Amino acid sequence: MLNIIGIIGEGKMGTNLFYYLLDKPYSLTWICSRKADIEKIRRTFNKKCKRMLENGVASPLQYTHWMDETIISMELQDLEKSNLVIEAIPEDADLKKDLFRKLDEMVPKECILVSNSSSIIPSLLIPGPQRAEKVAGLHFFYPVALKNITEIIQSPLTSQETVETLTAFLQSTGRNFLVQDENSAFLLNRIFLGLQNEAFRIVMEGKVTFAGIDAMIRKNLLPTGIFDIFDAVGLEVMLSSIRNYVRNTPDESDYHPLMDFLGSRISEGKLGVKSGAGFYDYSSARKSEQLFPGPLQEKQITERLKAAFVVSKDYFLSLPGQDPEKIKIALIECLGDDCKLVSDLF
Amino acid sequence: MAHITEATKKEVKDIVYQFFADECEVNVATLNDSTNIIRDIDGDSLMFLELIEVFKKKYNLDIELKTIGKYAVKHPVETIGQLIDMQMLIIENENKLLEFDK
Repeated sequence: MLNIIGIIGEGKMGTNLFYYLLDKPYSLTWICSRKADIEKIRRTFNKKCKRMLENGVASPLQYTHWMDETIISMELQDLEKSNLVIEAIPEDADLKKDLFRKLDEMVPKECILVSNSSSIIPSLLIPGPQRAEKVAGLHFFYPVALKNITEIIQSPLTSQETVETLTAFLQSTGRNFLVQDENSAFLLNRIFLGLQNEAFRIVMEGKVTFAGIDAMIRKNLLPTGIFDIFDAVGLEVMLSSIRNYVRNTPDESDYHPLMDFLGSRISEGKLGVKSGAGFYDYSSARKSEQLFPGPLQEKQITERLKAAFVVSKDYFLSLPGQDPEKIKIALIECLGDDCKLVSDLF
Repeated sequence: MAHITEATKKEVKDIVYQFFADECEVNVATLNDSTNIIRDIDGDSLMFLELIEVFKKKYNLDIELKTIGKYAVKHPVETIGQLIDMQMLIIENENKLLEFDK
């Protein structure tokens, strides 16, 4: 049974996960890497807890538990009593491998190590044969509190017991989940890859601008635009994920123009919202959307995007063990129940 | 559905301002309704989640985070004033927030 959970990483996801799990029935150890930030992180934690006590959101008992049982540290050694460690460090396979190797030496042998990666399969992170059955992927979606779905990704060596423990953990926090093997891993992202690539291709054909196609997508298919999503997630994260998704697949070369474009924007320092520019410029108020095509062209483009999605959807549904209903529910958790693409095509 | 009085409006505004001053470590006097949460005070678009919990408790609100999430996707909040307006709508409409939106 899990009782002490470690979280590694103080980025957007690590921070979000920490505060999401804070009021769940666990003791948390949060490992942060940037020395310059650690005091501010601790100060913010103390203020938040105090505020929640003062506003009646937390009971005195809960407050005491937080103060006594939460560790915020820079030392991996502080994870020595954890039963589950969730890493949420940058999306770099070598960094994650190195981290898992270090963790393997200091956490108990029963401890489960999971990666919150959105594109790196757990097989690549196994530090050694003794830990292999305790390594898996646990992919939360941002923001965790608002997107109630998590992907459990099992490698061929992940034990059934580990999957059951992770399942019980997610159930204890009231979360929906999908269990996937590595062939179907990150399905909830990968299912949109073809659509994203097609949207990019249409823009490159000169039929419509990024803003125009995003406006059309918001109107006809998804709650947010494709390129809005790229900018919100970060272009470097998206590029790394796409590389991992398409590596050694038969259609890898289809994605080269998109990946080259992303690489070029990144080299200009345009990483998306966080850098002030990506596909869009955020330094001033967004200009009104231009170049929204006429009705006929809009219909043709929408059909092309739908067709690209259907190809991905059919591929994933053809994989062994996939349950269309569960995937639909998961997509609704990610995108909302008024997402036209899901309601029309599932 | 709660009836919003002038006193409620003032209370919500005071709580929101104090929250951001505290969280972003800025003087409350420097904040105004046009303050951009991300650009001006290095805040986070998810900070409103803690405020939701505060107001849920304070006004005994029946609202799911999922409902607020859906509303926020359609009406992204950038400034403190917009956040206060959203909180008022939540207090007033609770789980019927999306019906109000239609």
